[in-house]
Amino acid sequence: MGNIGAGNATTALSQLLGDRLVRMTAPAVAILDIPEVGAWVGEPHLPVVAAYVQVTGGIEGHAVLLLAEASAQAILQEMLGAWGGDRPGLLASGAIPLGERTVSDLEASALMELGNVVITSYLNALGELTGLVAIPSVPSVAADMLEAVLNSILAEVGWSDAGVLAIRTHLQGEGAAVEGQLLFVPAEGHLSRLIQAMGMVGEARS
Amino acid sequence: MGAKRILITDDTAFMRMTLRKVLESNGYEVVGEAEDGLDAVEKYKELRPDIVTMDITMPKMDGITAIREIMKIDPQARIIVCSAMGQKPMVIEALNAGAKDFLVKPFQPQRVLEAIQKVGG
Repeated sequence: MGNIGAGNATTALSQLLGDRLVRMTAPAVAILDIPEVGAWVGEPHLPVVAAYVQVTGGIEGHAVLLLAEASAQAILQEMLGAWGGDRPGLLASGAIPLGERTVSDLEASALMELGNVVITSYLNALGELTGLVAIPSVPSVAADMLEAVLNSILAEVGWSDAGVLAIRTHLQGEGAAVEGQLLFVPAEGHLSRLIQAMGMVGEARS
Repeated sequence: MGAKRILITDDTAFMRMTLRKVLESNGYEVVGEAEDGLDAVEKYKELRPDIVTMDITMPKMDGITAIREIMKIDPQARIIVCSAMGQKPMVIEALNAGAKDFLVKPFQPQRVLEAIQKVGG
């Protein structure tokens, strides 16, 4: 399930990068306590750029695209390269730091678009598989250390004490430094709903 | 007949610029850019474009609602959805609301031009 979703997301990312090959690892699933999530995802102090989307509809949950800072820089260059030196609207928003500088409004909007397209492609596959609709919110973009980014997202989510189920996939671009992760956390009770829906789809097809 | 007048609707400036570039370099006139569904409805009233491109996931008013509102104003409106949301129920909802075509992001620029020609551009 996570595999096909990530496959779709990988294809979308590849197309955004001008058809460069993007590989993914098989998804890993884990049930974690909140303090464990950061370490499970990666090195806590790694600088990352994250796009976060809340998912509603038949499948509810939280989806995050995490990119290593250098990857985000490389992807931005690819997406905005077509504009060359003549980039209209290049005003420093000051809101999102990236390395030594802050991203421009145009770059921030490119990151939002990237998060939207990659995460929604993932959700499209989940929807296709389950026959349920997964509606994404407008993405929010943040850049910080991995731990800080995850903590602020986790604060939005509001877990129970039962821990959190997370599905994780690594994305790796060919050649260039494109490296990221997709994280999907189904809302409580929605994992069984996903599995059940897929079972029903399977039966209907047999 | 003059160049077709097009209204672009997308919440990211990046996507609006990308679409504008594709359209203008192929002889179309971009008469306006809307940042959300509500903005699209207002600009439709004001500008009366020949064709509208419409994103779905947007703040303030989503694209499906905006399609319904625009079709109320002008049942002849020609709206093409350009969205990452490619799930079948959503596509059907958009077409039922009155959209003439549905492009799933990411798409090749050529697909946008084909869709516009198809709806009468």
